Amino acid sequence: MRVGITACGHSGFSTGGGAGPAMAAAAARLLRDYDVDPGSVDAVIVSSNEGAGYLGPILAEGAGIRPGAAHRVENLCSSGASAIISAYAHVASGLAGSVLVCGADAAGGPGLVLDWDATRGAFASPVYWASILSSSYKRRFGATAADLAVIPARNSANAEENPHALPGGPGSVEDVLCSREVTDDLRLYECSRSCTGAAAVLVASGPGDGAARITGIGQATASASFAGGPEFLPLKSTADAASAALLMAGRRPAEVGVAEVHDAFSVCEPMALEAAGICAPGTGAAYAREMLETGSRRINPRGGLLGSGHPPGATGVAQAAEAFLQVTGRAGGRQADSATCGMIHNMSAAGTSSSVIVVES
Amino acid sequence: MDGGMDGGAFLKSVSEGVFRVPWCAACSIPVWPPAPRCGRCTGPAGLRDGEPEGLVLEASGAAGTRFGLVDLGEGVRILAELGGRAAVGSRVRVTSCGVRDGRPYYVASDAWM
Repeated sequence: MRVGITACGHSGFSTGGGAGPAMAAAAARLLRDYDVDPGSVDAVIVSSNEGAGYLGPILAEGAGIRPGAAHRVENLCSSGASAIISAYAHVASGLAGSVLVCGADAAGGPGLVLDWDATRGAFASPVYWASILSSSYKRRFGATAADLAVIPARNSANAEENPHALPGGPGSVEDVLCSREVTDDLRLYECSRSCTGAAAVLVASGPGDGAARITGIGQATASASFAGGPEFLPLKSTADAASAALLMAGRRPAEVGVAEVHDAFSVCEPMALEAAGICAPGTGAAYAREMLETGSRRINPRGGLLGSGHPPGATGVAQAAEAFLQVTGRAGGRQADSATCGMIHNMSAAGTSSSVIVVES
Repeated sequence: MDGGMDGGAFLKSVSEGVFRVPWCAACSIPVWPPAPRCGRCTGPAGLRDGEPEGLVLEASGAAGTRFGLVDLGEGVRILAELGGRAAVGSRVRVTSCGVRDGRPYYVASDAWM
């Protein structure tokens, strides 16, 4: 069965407010902007790390939807892609004809720190694993702080064309390099910002013109702990998930015309691009500089997490919404060239698990 | 399981300043990340005698504190503060540990040699 994304909606990403109102706003905009009859929605899946329960039925009631299934998916920062893949499974299996997926979280909410992970010792905050990955990337490939500073500067520039993005990113590479030192290997602007926000997509059967077909899905879970697992191979889960998704879609990395990748920290973007095969090992940072100089919007056209903000439950859904807009030619001023095949990459907890989805017009 | 840390005897030992690897005697494997029971056979995890030696795989720093990813062998790895002159490639041992604000902390150093 053909399954695709047929509509999307957003709240603005901001530093205040709650996840509930943002979630309701994103769903309402999807229903309004795409003229979707609430009575036609068979299921509702919320992706969130919020402590409050019963968010699926709460969203459905507020939106006037009387679904069969209404529940929540939680998977830290990749809750959104996980929820979309669950929606795909609902539709592909025939359990539902259409599923509203809505991701939402609030600034400073749970979902950013994995308290369970004793292997991190006193270094529980994500900035520490990111600092280790950044140090490792620099050591292995000779990349410099200036090389990696291009990534937040470029993604912030892309976010200027995204009306839903959290404002306040760096204006230049120099801004990144002059921002506060968080660790020896990370400056403040190299870290995505926790914020409040929501995004919604409609996943439906038999998508026609104007829809984005979901043609590939890959998921991989190496471990839960940063330092556990049988071997330490950063973003191995991304490589495995991307390989599986591209195989299912029958596509090569070079055919990906637009990609939303999980740049929670600056170093994550080149590492993800290299793991997915879009860039050769060690060339991802140079590719960011090339895109900055040429104005290419192939990677993270909405601004990524660094440019747009990072409400964990919403991020994967916002990525999918962007891919939908891109491959259907609706992305306006941030439209990438040759964007008929799009990819989203959403990961959790230092890349210990990853989800990759391929969509096509 | 509620997602909180449940390191069982390991965390008690760490709180007393002794780093010992949780171990399933029946399966002859470390129970890592630390847990009260072996995930394979569900038998109780004990603590293996001896403080393991390891290798610093990666390192960084923050606010004057150096920290690194330390491989203690058999899949047991930790993020630890690095003491002495420990750097990437150094052989180290956990020379100090404890529990602070509900979380374990580990210090790995080459200064024991």
